[in-house]
Amino acid sequence: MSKHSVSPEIDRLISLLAKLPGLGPRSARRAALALLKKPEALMKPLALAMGDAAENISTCSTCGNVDASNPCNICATPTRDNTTICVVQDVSDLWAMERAGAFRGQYHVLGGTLSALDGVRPEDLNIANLIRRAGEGRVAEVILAMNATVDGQTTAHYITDHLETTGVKVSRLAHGVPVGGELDYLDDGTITAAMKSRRPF
Amino acid sequence: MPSIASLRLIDFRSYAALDAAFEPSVVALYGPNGAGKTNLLEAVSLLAPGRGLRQAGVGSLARVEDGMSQPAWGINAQLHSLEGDIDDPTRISIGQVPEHPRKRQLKIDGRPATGPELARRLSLLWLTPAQDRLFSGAASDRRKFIDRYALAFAPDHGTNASRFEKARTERNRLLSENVSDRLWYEAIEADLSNYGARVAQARMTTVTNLQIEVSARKTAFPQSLIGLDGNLENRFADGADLTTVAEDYRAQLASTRSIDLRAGRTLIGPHRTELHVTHAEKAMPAALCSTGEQKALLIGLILAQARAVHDKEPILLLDEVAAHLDAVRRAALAEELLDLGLQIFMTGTDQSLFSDFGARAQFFHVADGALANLDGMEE
Ligand SMILES: [Zn+2]
Repeated sequence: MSKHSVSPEIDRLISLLAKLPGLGPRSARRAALALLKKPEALMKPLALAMGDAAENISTCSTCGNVDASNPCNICATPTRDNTTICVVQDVSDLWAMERAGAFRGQYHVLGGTLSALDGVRPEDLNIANLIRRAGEGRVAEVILAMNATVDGQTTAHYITDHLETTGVKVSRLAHGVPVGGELDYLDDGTITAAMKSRRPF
Repeated sequence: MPSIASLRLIDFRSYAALDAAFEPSVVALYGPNGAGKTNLLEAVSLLAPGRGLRQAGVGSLARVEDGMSQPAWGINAQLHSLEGDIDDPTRISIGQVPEHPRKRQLKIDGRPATGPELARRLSLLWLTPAQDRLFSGAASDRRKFIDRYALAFAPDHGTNASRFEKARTERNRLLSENVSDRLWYEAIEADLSNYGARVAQARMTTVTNLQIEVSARKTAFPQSLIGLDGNLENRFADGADLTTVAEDYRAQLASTRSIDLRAGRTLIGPHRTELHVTHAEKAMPAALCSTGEQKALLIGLILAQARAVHDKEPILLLDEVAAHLDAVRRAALAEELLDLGLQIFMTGTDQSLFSDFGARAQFFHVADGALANLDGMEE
């Protein structure tokens, strides 16, 4: 398809869609077409929803979750256990934990894992904030729920070393999480079991 | 094609962690030997398909600490974007992950990518001290040299060359094991002749374009006469087309099978081609010229190649080039490079080697695995 045969509006739409995870140029073209075919039922509501989210959603300055309020709803709920922090890689992992209903404490979203290949260094992650939170006194336990990948475990080790000075108990999910497994892909039962059988790091 | 806006190295060679931002113009890196200047150039060179300007294996690139190689390393480059409408410049990640210690990982914008995809984003040209022996060394090095230049004219050249090599290896195996299955040979020779002809054609195109550029501009660097001597290349020089050259090569392979069987390998083809470079003014083969003149010829060639593929905005890497030149040629080189208007990374032991650039270059002092950005020099 030559660039000139497609209008700049469509070209731009496809280019932006192609930047989404899981979409390549081909699937981006299909998605753009699907939107264009349903302007009233799909495209305009989607544009509105995206505008709305872009306008109102922000990152929680306490835990790194995304929500319409800051601090987020989880951090602001007084009935949640504030002596335990569960550390996850991404918001999608937080969502997986919440879906499973396996945890009633606070979260901390790192925003990724340490990775030389991807150029992610400790200062790029939400680690300093975690160490500060853990040292605040009321926190008794930090649960590391990183993915069972090499990068996830490297990150877990790095954090454990840095939490040593705070004196809090550090544990990790173990049972049932397969090697290379990502939290987001696990079923609720597996997550609950992993949470129950956590062990000291 | 865009240039490199910033570079982040993690556990690569001498660099534990490095962040540097570059202008899309001349970048001068100076510092003592062993400071890590070439390592930085090598990191940039790995942003092109292949093993970079040192031809190093993937296992040897990790930083070594206390005698132990780090299990992972990474080169992350953010490119100056050309597409102004989407404010998200391309990021290239090259490196190694602990899970696959023998495999070089490549990502574009966070997604696994292939060498040809990378070649479409960035075009790189380099000149290193290792090339000082190019004209007097092995013919295979000269073929590699012209094949690298050919990538800029024929993006499929790398793929065609590796397919040709694969077919040649297959045929050589049959020959060395005395296999006599005619149909098997014919199947391999169909590939061999097809890709061999494409390889030779791309080389001819390259040499032709390069010669035009060399002859078109008189510089302080001696002009070369560039020629290829190879069975297939010579056919193209005589005006034959791709189909004819491929068919004739195929017929030739069939007819020389018995000779090749005795030799145990394929004797005719673009894997035997010789690149001839002659100092035009002196009418002297490059290999017989003084070391200094050979270097000057090489500089003339890389400048010509940069002009020939200028529309692809190649990034030039010039390792320890200025040190070999007298003051006149050094000044001339600076003007030639600035005139190209490309991003050019240069190394040298002393800042004074780059004095001709004045304030028209970005200066970095390299020492102890770190870069210090300095303002351009006073005129
Ligand atoms: Zn929060």
